[in-house]
Amino acid sequence: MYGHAGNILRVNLTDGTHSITPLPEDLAREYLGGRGFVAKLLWDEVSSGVDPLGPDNKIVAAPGPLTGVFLPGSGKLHFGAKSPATGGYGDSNVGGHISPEIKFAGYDAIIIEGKADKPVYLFIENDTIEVRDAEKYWGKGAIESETMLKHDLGEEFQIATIGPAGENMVYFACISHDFGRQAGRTGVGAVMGSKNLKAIAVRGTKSIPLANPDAVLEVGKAMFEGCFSKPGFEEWTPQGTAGVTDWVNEVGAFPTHNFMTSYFPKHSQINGEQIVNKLKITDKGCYSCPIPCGKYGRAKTPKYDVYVEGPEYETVALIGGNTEMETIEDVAYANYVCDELGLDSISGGNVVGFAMECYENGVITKEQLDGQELRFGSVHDFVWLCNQIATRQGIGDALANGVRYASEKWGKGTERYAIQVKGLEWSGYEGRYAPAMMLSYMTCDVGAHHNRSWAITYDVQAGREQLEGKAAKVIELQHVRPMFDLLCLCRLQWVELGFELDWYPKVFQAVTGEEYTWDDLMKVSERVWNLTRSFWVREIPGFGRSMDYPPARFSEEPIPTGPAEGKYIPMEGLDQLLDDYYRLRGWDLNGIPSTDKLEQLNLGFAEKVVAERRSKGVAN
Amino acid sequence: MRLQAISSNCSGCKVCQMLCSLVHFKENNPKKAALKIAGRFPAPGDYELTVCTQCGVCVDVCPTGAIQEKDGAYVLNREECIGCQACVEACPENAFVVHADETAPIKCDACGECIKYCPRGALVDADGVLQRVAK
Amino acid sequence: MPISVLVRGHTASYFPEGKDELEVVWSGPITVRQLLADLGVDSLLVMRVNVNGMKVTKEHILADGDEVLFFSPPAGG
Repeated sequence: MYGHAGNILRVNLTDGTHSITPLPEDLAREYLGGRGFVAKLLWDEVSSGVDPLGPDNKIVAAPGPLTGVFLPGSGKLHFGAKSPATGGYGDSNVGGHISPEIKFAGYDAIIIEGKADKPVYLFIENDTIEVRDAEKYWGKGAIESETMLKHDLGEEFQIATIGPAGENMVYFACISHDFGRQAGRTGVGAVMGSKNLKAIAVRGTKSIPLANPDAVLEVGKAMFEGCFSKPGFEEWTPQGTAGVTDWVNEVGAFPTHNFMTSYFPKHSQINGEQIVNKLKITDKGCYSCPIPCGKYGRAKTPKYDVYVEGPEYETVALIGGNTEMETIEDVAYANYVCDELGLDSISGGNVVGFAMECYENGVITKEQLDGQELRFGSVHDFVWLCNQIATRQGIGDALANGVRYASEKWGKGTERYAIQVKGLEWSGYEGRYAPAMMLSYMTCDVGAHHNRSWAITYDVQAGREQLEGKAAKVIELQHVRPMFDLLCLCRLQWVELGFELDWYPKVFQAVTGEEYTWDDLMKVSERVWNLTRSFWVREIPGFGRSMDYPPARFSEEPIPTGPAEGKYIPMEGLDQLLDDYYRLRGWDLNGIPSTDKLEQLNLGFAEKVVAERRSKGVAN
Repeated sequence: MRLQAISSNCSGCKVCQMLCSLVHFKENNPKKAALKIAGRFPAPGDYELTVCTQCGVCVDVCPTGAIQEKDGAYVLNREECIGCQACVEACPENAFVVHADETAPIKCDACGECIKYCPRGALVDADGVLQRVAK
Repeated sequence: MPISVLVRGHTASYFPEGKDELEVVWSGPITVRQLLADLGVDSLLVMRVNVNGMKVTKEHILADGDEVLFFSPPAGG
């Protein structure tokens, strides 16, 4: 199939060997690329029950068939591995420029297996593949080591690194790229660290095979023109995603004080306008993006002076609101610290917020912290704790395994406010007064992440008290939004500009020569969703409905302040949402895909494993 | 038309480079484009564009006369180029691009396509004739 | 009086026929908030409003020939 580079690169870090094999045609047709390749290759290649941080886990990095091509937003890369944070399916996406570079080097997927006996990095320059010594980079910050590698190899190399948090296998360690973009979630950086893999450096000079170059030029031009002509094209970029901060407060969905409430009175001190006025140097975009969301800037006060990309909205929410930072400079500084340590700023802000609430409640005491405090609003305390976590010292060791682990270890009712699903910390939208958004988090296939289904405007329009109809919308979004991850494109042109979805089958045909209707693309997306669900069923003993609930705070504690005051969704409501969702998905009442559904989606190969678990689960 | 770069507007997207390679080579390959983008991170935190200013210095050093003026631009005839790289070294802007698969270096012919599709107004027509496209 | 309505972003799908460009005809003075109600769109869905390029509140009274631009909230992160 055109569009693909045509090869899979497999690297074994245990013995330092590699192989380059042709991309299987059926994999390309049935799974398209990116997230589809990640899901299928993990299912096929990672044996059931392996330790996520052991040598038998694998990392898959995959661009998609349209990645790198002349069309808006073609710069995304999908990473995946069995997640150390959750024990289930894990993936995470990053923009920047490395994904096209992998295609230009000639690869549609990189599979990394085994474990090096000392720190190494993976060097890829077209057909030259080397596992190189990384002793001099080990221990360095994620961005610091990227800077060093760029200096050593050249500006044209695109580099993904981990920081000390990844090296120390913190469960929410990220993979960092392009000076401040991250594949942040599910602990993919910890898996790199577990393999002693500090970095991946890529340079490629090849062209991407196109079915019809003239058609690609024509459709690509029309797509960019379409973006330029959209209402508000010029106005979206200045603030980027942080432009939504005030609005999320206005609707009462802003994580505040470890999700105790959903409104931060000082939100206008940490919003997009503050970023523009106090931090921004330049708009920093990914490859082929007409609306660059990255805000590269400098946070300078008497206490610190740092360059940092961001904060984007999620960081504003989880560091800003959730730990109650009162200035945008403090948010940016905490963001910088997370970036260098290689900590996901979503889980990072969530975990620190959790620890601060534990401290407030006396679960953690000053004595345990050698006199240090953990106060909401203190960037000093935030940074201190991040360093403890990244180096696994003191209480940082338990927190490095995420809030689920720490709350189980510490007890004392902390499980109630460990804000996670399936072991992954909740991201930037509170769900107690947004049932579709709540259900999105409950059923997201990597744990509590927003990006598979961002449904909060649907809640507002359809009625925020209402539960009926929400499951159908969530399922629709869970197929549309991850479609972009299959093709490894950015979805922001669609979401933020309203760029029409019917462009994608058109450009898909121009690039690949294959005709996929929109419904065909949605079918692939549904196939992958059911495969990742099956992966959970396979890997987690007793997996089912019980893993789809939010923490008790969300079903028992009314929101205490702000526009959503008094709201929450009691268990009966959550059950109604799940019942609807499972029924519409063709899953049983325990949330396990049915035989019919698997067969309908050409996932018959998963049926045997799933059937075993199905019989042991709750009766349908 | 005179191509002018305003580096402070650049967000590093490489739309210009993809378009350049598609227009001139019918290939999708930013490394076969006649202009350069360099990110300068972490500090000072910006992008630097390098473009051909059509100064014509290359014309005089070319031993085969492969670079000729055409409608105000100096155009490299790739058939006549022997790959000696004299122009690459002589260019005061360092604007020639060398690609391992090509004998001839890659030179801007001032076609102006990149101006029409730069999302950021980082590439403009110094004469103000060409603009970004819109529906 | 005719008012032209533009919508930036994904909430266009909640406007009549899912369109991001509309012509609305109205007789007499109307606020932005009333216009949204008339179009069947919850005013909370609109994060920001520009009229003829200037930022206004939802209580702003619209005039003949105004161009109204509604901004969807960014689905951030």
